[in-house]
Amino acid sequence: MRPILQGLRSEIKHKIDFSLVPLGIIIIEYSVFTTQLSKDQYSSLRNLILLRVLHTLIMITFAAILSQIFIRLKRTELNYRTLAITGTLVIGLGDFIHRFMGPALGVELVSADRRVGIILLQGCFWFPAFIIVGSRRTEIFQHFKEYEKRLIIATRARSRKSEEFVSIQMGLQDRIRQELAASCKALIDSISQVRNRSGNLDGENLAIQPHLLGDELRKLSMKLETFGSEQQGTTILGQNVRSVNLLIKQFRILYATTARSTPLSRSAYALVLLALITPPIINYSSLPEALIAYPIMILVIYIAAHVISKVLASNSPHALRNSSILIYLTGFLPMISNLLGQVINPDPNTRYPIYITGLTVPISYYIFIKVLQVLHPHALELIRNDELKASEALQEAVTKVVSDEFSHALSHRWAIFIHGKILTRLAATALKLETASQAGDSQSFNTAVDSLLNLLKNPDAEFEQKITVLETEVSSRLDPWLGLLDVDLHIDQELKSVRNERVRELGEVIEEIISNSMRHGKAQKVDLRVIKSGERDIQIIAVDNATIAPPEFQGRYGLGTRIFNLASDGRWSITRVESGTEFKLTMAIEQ
Amino acid sequence: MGSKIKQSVMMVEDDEFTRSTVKAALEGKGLNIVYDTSSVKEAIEYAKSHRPDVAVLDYNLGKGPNGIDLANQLRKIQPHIAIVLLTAFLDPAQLDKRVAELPAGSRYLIKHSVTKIEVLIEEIKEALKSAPTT
Repeated sequence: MRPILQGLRSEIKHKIDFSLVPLGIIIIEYSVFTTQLSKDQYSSLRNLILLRVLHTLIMITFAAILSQIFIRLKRTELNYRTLAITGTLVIGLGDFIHRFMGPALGVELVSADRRVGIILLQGCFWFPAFIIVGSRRTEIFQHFKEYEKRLIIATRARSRKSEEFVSIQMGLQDRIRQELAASCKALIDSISQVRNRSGNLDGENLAIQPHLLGDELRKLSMKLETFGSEQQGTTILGQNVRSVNLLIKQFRILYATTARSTPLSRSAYALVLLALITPPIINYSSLPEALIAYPIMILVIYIAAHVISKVLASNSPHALRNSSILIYLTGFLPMISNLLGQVINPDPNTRYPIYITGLTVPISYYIFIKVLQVLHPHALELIRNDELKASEALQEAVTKVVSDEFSHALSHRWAIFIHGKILTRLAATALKLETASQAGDSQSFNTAVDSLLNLLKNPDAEFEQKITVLETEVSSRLDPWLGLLDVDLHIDQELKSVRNERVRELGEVIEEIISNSMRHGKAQKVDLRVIKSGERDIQIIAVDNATIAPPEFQGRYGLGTRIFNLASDGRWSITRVESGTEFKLTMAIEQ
Repeated sequence: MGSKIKQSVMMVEDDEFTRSTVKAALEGKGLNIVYDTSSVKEAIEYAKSHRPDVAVLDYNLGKGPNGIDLANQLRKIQPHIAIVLLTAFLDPAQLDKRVAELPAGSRYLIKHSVTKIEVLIEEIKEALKSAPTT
């Protein structure tokens, strides 16, 4: 992995990518604007703004043309030197146009020697920097995403085992059971009342039938399912936005870990500050001042960079805090240098505007260094699993996601249970009573009513809670599908007798895999393997001959996604293979 | 009420009470219930060997495939089979967005509307009329 900042003499080739160049142009133009504003070199603010806007558009057009030229010439890579020369030519051309536009709009230009300095800095540093970072953005994002994924997996696992989550689980189960019991109790009361009052079988049947519609239970079931459907439409984009929010919450810990494991080089600390302070030196200092002050400034900045690195590498428990303070204070060096110069040789023309050196430079330097550190791909790669600590905000957010997923999945199971078991029984009883009433069979009539009342007295008795051994659980999920599709099953011998809370989740995962393969993929065959993976994990690998990709592969977020996330803490993937779809999921199977 | 149904009928319902109730009611009206089961696998095996004319299926069959999955498979085995799907759901898509489509000509009946067995018998007749003939 290469560092982001490299030397001018480096022969390493960089991919040409102009995607961040417009952003770079806007930042540079803004910087020029603030300088011109501070030096009072314009006739009217309106004209100054107009000049900068027009010049920005022209420069962006230049960049677009240049990008097309590279594409036409089929040049995809350049070394740093060529990039710097190209950058200098582009910025020089921009300055040439600026030279005519400025006077036309009443904006006074700085002297030619200062402009040459600015052109060299922007062309040799900022232009290549934006091209290089742009070309590596995919790589940076990829590492960022991988880090994020590992972090979320670790945080999910912690959340799932947390007391808060266990309490949410139990609370929700209890709440649903209580609501179901209350609805059933009301139904028992209603039926008992009309049953006692009626005098004949037909009358009793007519009185009971309306209650057997089970309106309250239907409402409860639909309420539970609506809760489970709230996030059905969440897209991958939405999840990414959520991911970015989570990472912002994680920034401090991310910085702390990367800065300790893979700190930036001393050169990086120094170069960033030099790149920030050089334009004010060129714009505001006289040549003699610059010749005296600039070498001293470089020396001091390098010493400061050295000190920052030393402090960061120390064993002090406050190393991070101290280095951050130093980074911020280092940003004030240009201001201190200028103030000292003003004491020795007071000159209003060479005094830096305080909002640049006392505010913009220190803050920009601090932010640039932090972001540069966090974007260090190698650092992200080096973070070990046991160092993936989540911030409180992130832990809280992930616990909420895990709890929501659990709540949705559980609510869905209860909704199906109420519909499939209790409402079905009400409907069957209605038919039974009608038939018995027509036949004048009071014994069948009363037996049916008693049977229903017994069910309603203990409505959740059949809601499956028992835990079986892994092999039995897998069989119970697969057997019903036999006849609809062929399943070739392998379970590692040592896993067959595993029995714990997680076995049921594994069963739900298998049910979802098979359901996806058949319903979405129109598969006819699934090769399913349940194997041991490391000390504490098992892996489920399913390969089918599906002709259509499953919804999760298409980025849709639904019940399946929740079940997979809950079981694996996010460690699952779906890939299209030559013959169909391959699904892989890793889950901890606590013994 | 029209003519009597003479065709063979199979039933698949996972709830024992419901299955026996509906079966008894249909038989009471003279229908020929040739097979009833709670198992998808057994239903498929029976359909392969006996090719019944009508299948009355529950939508929710517990773990595994649902009534629509089974209906589609039965239609592959027996292209002319008439299908009536019984369900407690007003709309199965409310409970599962991923439900497959019912085979052409199948009838869909809410269980609560079957207080009188004649309603189901009428649906079976409609399903027989609309089942593919070629």
